Amino acid sequence: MFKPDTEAFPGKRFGRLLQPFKSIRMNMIFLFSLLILCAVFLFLGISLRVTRKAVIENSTEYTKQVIGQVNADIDAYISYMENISTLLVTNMDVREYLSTEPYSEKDTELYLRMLSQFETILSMREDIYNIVVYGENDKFAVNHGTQMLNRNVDIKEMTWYKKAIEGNGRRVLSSSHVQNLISDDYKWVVTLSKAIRTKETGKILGALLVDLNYSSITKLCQNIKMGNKGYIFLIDSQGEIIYHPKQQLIYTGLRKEKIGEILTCKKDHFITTVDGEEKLYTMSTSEKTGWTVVGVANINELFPGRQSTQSIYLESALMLLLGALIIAVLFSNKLTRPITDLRNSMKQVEKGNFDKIPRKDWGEGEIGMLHKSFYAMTDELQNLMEDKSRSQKEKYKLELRALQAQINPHFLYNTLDSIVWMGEGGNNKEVVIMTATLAKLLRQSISNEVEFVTIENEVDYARSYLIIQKMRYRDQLSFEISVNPLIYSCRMVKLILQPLVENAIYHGIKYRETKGTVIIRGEETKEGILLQVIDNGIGMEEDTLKHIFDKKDKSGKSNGVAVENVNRRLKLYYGEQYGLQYESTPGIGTTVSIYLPKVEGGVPDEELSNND
Amino acid sequence: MKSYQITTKKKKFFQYPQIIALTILFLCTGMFLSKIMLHQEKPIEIICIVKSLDEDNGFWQSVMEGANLAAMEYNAQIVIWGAEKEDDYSKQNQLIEEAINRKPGAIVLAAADYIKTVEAAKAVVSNNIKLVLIDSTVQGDFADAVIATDNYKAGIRMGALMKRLLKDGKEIGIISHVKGTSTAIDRENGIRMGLTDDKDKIAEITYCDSDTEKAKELTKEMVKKHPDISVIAGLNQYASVGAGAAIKEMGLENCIKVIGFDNATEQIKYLEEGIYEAIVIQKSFNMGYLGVESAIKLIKGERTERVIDSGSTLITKDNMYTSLNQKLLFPFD
Repeated sequence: MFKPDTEAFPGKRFGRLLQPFKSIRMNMIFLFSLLILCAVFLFLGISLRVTRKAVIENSTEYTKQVIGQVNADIDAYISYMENISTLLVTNMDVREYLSTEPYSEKDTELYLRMLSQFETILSMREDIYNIVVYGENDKFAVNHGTQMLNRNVDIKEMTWYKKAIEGNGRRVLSSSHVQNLISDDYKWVVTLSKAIRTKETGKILGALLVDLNYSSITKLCQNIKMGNKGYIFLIDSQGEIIYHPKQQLIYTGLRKEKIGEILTCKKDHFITTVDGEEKLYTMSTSEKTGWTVVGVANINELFPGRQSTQSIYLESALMLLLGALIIAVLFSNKLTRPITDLRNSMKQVEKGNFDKIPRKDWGEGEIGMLHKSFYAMTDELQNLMEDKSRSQKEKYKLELRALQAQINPHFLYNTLDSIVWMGEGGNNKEVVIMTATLAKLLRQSISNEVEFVTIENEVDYARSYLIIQKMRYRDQLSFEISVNPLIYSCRMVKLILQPLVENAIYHGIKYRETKGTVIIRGEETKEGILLQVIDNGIGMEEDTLKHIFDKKDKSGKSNGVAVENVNRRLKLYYGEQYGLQYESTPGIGTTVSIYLPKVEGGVPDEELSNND
Repeated sequence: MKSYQITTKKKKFFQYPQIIALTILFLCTGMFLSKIMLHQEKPIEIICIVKSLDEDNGFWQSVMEGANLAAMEYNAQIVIWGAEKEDDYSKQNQLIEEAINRKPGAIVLAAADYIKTVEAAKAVVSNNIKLVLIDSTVQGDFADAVIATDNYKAGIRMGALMKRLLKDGKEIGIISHVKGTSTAIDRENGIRMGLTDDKDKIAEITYCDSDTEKAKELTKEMVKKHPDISVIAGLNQYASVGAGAAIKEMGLENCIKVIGFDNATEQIKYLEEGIYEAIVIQKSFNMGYLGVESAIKLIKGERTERVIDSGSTLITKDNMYTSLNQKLLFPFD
């Protein structure tokens, strides 16, 4: 029990998707394209990915070097500042100044000596904004000694001071901030501070502050270029931003920086997405300052010609596809041509044209074998068909012979009856003629071993028949035979003329009230031989004429059989172009034309029948 | 036989929709490629007209900084123009006209007057130039985008603080800047809202026309005229610096509390000194940045908010040096 069910064939839908066309060729091209398209895009994806990975690795390495250098620069810078601070903290003038009583003579002297040292350092280094010494006893010295401290702040409560005292001689480094220590002066600085202690006891006397110009730090970072959109920034150990090229955007909340990720990241680089763009973050933390330099590179920019690379990849992929498609078209053509060819051959066979099959050798492949099998099959088929038609013909001939053998019993009976009447009437002479003619007729009819007779024989046979009929109908029938003697020796199928003459008498002349005439004519034409049986009987209506070759006459009269039989035999022996042609006019008469090929005598019966 | 003949009948090429689809695919890829190859951005041109180019004015300097940074970020060309004095609306109108003649993609404008700048601003829009208003708006609702401090909100902040500082039976004095500007109107209304039931304690509102000296004189006059005044608010940099200076000169810092607006160095000093009780600062950098950013987005046809509040913060002496606030108060060099 076969039941088509989609459940039972889950691959059916998929298969249909893969083979949307009816022709094998289109399906092949389609599948080829699909396959190549997949392969090309897979290749494209992989190569882009590989390129990207390599580029990112290179870039990470490069960025690491750059930010490592920045870090080293900052470290060197801070070390230098540290040296200055150490120099000042251990300076005897500074220590003494902080421990002496104020307003003494020595105090002023120390103060001035100290300021001159500050002066030297400040003139040497433009990147130092402020040098401030502040004592526990509230004595202080600021830069050149000309500036006032900000009265509104309590210096001992300031972070730098408190941390320096807590640090007890360790260097304290602030993040970037606004220095409000000095009156009327608000500068962005990075502060380095250190406690000042006595040399002997280590007792804390106060603290030293060195303010570094903030821009000197930013300059170190600003000059580093990392593509158009790449940048570096600096954060301290708390994650507080010291420098960022877009710091205003960050402080006003228009931008966010990935501080949390940087602080928690254990590796020295990571990739993240900011505003829809992929960025590579690379970090380097200084042991000395605790600051972290972060390099940010835009991944899109890492590929210098990323777009052109991509379009080149895409272009070449398309060219490949196009090329592959052309190959697919050509190749599929080569592959499907034997099949198309086979289909065309089959069409020819369908129509019965066995001879029109083009026989080609397609090699030993599957399709080649298919062709060979097909040819073998058609050959077999052709043989079978020829055998069949030959045997059919044989059968026909036998049938015809049987028919020919029969002499119409009515005719025989009527003729014998006429002879009896004539004998009784004493017309001995006529009895002799009629009996002799009948004997001749019978002899001709019996000798049916041969298929073909000379035209002379055929005409004689018709004549014999006419003589008998004329004697029977006396005044009602006359006949005339005018056959060119040149064609007498030609051969033709026998028993053609007599049935037609019989027809002319029984269906034409018989119904006439006055005497009727049958004329047999024969001559040679361009195409062959033309025999005619002409009568001046009642003729036929057009409708009857149309159905003259039908197997069964509508009226049931036997004449149809004869005409059809004669016509079929002629066509069977000589081909379609030969046969009978009727012309008839009601009241005037009928003419039957018999078209025959001109066959000279001596051609054997069998050969002729095979040659049609 | 017949049905077989139908299936083997040759089909025309165009009867395969798949082939057409494939061809279209090819064409599309080609077009996409050529688009990538030929894609070039047109340079964006923006003219920014601020109220004042005064280098001592930290507010406008910071706006310009923001504007420049945004232009740099988006790779746009920017020109910044402005009159010398804030209330010079006729000069500004001339500048707007000149800007229109140069046919930029957008004009970012800080309107000098709420009424008198309207015509010039309308001309910008009618010339098919995008108009982005920053800081101060004009009458009517025709600008493509407005980026400003929500002055009403800033006013409420001031008002609420004043209400807290106000003692029974005392009065409030307000030194406003330019009468008729949207910022003055909104700030005054905001203060009234913040004061709630104390709003009838406002003794006087005067206008200094963004002139520090005038503000100082007006403050002195006001204090003499209304001896009960214990809280004074200055509604912009000039007004509040003037008010601070007057109070300092008169030595009244212990009796009269001043609340300032904006963050000039002078004002920061007053805050440190205790002359000012607090200041309300605007995020001027944001204003400039967001103004230009909006203009660029409008030119590119991207979606932007029509009204953006650039933000404001109340800063007192105690919190002025916190890490975040010092960054808002002091510009980087």
